[in-house]
Amino acid sequence: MAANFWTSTHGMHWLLSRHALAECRKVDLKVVTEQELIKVNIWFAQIITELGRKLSVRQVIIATAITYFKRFYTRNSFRNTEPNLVAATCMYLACKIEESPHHIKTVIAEMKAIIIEELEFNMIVFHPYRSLMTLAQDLGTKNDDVQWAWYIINDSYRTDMCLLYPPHVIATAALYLQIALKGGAQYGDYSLTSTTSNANNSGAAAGVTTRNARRGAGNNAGNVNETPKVKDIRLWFAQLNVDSEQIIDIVQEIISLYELWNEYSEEVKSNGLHELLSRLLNK
Amino acid sequence: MLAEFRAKRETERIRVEAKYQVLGFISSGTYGRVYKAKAKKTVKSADGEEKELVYAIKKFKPDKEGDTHTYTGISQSACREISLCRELRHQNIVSLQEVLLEDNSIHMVFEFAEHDFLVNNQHERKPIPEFTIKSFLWQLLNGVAYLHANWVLHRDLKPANILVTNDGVVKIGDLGLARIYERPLQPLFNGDKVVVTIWYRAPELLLGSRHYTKAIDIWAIGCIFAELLTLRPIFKGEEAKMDNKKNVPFQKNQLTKIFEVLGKPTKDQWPTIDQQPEYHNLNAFRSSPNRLHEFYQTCSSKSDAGFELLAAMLGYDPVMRITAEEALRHPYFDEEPAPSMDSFEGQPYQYPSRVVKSEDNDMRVPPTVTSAVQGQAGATHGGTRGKHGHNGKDEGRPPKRRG
Repeated sequence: MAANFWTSTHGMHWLLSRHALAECRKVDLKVVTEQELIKVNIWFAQIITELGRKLSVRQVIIATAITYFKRFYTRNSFRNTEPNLVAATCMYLACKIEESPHHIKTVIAEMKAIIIEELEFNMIVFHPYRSLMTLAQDLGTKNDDVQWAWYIINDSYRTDMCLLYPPHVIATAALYLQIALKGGAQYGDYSLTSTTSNANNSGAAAGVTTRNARRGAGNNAGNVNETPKVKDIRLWFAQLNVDSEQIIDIVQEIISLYELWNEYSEEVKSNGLHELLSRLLNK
Repeated sequence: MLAEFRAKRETERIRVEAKYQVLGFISSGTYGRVYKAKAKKTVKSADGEEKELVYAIKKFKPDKEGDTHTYTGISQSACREISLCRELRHQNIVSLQEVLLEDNSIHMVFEFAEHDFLVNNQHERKPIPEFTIKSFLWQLLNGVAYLHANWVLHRDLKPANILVTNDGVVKIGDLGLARIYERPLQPLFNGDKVVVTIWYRAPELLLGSRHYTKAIDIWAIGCIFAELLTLRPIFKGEEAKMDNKKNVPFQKNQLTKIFEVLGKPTKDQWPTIDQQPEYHNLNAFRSSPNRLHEFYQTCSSKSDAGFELLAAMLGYDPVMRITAEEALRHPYFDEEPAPSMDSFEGQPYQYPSRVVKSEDNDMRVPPTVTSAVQGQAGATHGGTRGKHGHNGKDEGRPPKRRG
């Protein structure tokens, strides 16, 4: 379980197919479009994030809360529930499960019992953050760049990725996207197009020692004295045991999220989103 | 709108009574009560016989029942137990059949086990055969090794929490204090100031350690091993109570009991002992010799390897203390009699069963006074828990860490 994602409830019961996810949303899609529903999901992810910030909780707790929220809405439609209450309750439950309990009022305590039941009492959630740290260390990614990938993972919780793909695949996609977006232009450290990406041998990055250690222990013992080479990024990605189509799918999803997010921000300003919400919630 | 949603859920929900028939009352505590029950639906076994399935249903009362102002819903202990039991799957961990929610209270349906390790309470203290003890210990270590491999600390191992089925299979139960200790968001001490029932509490915890490890579970197993061998707790100390300011008191009496058998720990045995928060309190103790070997000679086992394993589990330095994985490979288990997954295999000895009170079989009504004698307030848990209900006689039972 906690040591093995594939035998956990997350791995066994809570990775859905896109088809199954579309089925879950049929009721809501009668009143709003798919695009609009994405915006609604961004809205509530924002609310949960804001709530988390106000409570000064760690990012992992926010991510768990958003995942609970999304899992809940794979079994219920927005129309028949009170999503603000569900959102707050998910935060309350996430704090409890992540062993950082917070005091919230009675209403939520009651709602929590229902949410917990909807979650089939499966409450341990895996997140891409840990995989990101492992991957970044192996690749020798600079701290600034790891931070960027971390932000991308935060943003991925505005999409359905946490319901569709295992966390380590999302982490890989975030790292890929970070390198694609920032790599060539700003840093020159990484390149997804050239086979000999150079640099990042500053020694300051923790990953360098790891790579050297591994190389030393490897079969090319005769080359111990050569200057540390940076990993071939393309080769590195190719050697990961991760489905590249899934990576591409996640990357595309996140990029289209960013496009839609701009539109969304405008609608928040113009009150368009409130109209959308009241239409969805039948108010 | 939410009322409508709730009503819909209520109608969809399966009532506990619809699926299970309560056979009797097993035990109670601050968390709620445990009942023995059978499934109303029987299953056909391989030989075509109708088989009844028996379960233990743990019914939690909502936190601070009745007090709507401070109602916080499902207790932390229920949350932990449910979330972990949903993930864990192992022959030596009690298996959770399902969870039912009814009237805001959680019902956890576990597989039923006829026996437990609580033998110090039996009227006739007949020694347990070495084969049975060794099989118990091996299976207990096997289950704990699985927990530890999954980054789970049990934190409340004691005879009452370790169950045994009719087929002699050990089932570790009560994960209400268990937690994942991989990358905790806060130090473990912040969450729970006091863990493990006093008699089974490791010396690093008694000395106020803020960061403890899976070694605390191994200490408890060492105490349980000794208890199975002699039918009485090895370190039967008295717990100092929490004061009004909720400061964790220094457990002088418990440490005295440990030092009487193992001697006062030295810096050689435990190099970092002087870094323990309560280290200064050790000045009050005189140094004493290790008498564990003398103790072992009073036991039912004559195995030298058994003694070595016991000493390794009761090692003072948590860093040096044997791990569950190492213990499973200990020479003691290579000696005859070899341990088995059926601890009762071929034994003429009748192992005592847990007591089930059949007069209390209504889940909605609290058990009668005779079957659930209200014990004295036991060990406090953060000073916030109330009276502890004990079942049966309290003789020879440790004060409960919590309900």
